Amino acid sequence: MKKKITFTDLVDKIAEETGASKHLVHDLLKETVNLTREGLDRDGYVNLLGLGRFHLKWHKARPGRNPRTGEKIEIHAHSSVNFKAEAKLRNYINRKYSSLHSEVLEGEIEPAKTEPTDVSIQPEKKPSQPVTETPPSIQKKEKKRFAKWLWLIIPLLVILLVYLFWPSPKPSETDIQEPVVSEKVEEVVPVLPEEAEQPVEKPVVEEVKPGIQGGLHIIKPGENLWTISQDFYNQADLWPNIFRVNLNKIMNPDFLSVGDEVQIPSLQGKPGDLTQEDIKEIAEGFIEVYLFYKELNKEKAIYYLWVAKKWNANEVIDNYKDKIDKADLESVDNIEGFPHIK
Amino acid sequence: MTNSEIIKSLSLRLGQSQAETKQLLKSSTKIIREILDKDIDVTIPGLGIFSSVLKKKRKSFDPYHRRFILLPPKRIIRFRPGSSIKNELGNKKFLK
Repeated sequence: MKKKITFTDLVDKIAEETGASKHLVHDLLKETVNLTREGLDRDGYVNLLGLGRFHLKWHKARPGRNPRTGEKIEIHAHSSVNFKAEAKLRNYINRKYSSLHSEVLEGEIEPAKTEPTDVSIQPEKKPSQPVTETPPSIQKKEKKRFAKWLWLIIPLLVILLVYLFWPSPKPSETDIQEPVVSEKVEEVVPVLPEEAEQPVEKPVVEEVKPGIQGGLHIIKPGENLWTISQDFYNQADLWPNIFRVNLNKIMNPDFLSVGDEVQIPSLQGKPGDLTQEDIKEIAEGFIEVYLFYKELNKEKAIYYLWVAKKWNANEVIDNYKDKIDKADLESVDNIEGFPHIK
Repeated sequence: MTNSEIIKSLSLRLGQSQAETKQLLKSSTKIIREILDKDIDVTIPGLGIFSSVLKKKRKSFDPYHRRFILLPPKRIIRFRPGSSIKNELGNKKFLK
């Protein structure tokens, strides 16, 4: 039977050795216990000076058996109070054994690969296994090494694959984006003249051909009228046609706000095969753009008027006669083309 | 709860300075340590029983190097919580 020390004996002993009053030591121990309980209740752990660490551990409910009757019962979920002695205390009580270390048992043989943890089977397999004993460990190590390399190689392969397959979608993106960037700054200027010349050549168009359906479009980041026109009409410089319909919504054709809804007018013909009505509408759009830039006193305004005139849409220009500057109307005839194209 | 928190509230409850409380707590745990070293169980009411147990040397398996080893004997401190603390905290759930 192990010896025990009772609480009162402990108090007496501590009081004797420290010189403190029994009353104080008693209180100290009591309060330490209380604090430990409070701390466990609050944090789930308590570090107690000189002893170690108490902590609560949660155990899930699990099936069990009554050891006396063998009856199946369920062990309820509960938490247990666990204690781990601090290193100082462990080392102190083990100072006698501190010189001892674990030794490798040379004569012993490893268990089979399939049941590495089963120690009981190991001695039986002694005679048959000595030769095969070392290979498994080496194999395993090599496997481990290989696994390490795999972790390195797999991401590299993935990156390579991504890199190889990336370029194919990219060019199409950049093709679309490049013009967008340049157009944003300089507006429609560069391509307009070609556009303007086309209708002059083919003013008469068969009306049988199916047109392009318009619709509502919500502006996404990175879009401008130029790209929207390219998407819908397959001809970027028809953008004034969109601007014409959305005069109330688009305050400035150079700056669209993302998320706005834009009405896209439908065309009866197709770019290159436009009907007379289409041409009128588009010319109207160019005149609206002219008016807008004129208000801002931009030099390029007159070129839009010039394009409108080139579309052979004199009727439309007559409708806008009051708004168009007369000096501009006269000077338009002298224009030979867009300035930087000359 | 950490050591410093315990010492702070202990000094408040005992009416002693923190340094004195720490000194007293240290020396009393030292005495408990000596008692445990003499292989005597320490019962602290409200907390539980501390006892030192001798573990004999034993054979064990080292899974990393895949070999058998002989572990030397050693002593461990075993703590058995009292019934009152078990009942009080038995339903308390703390997950990491």
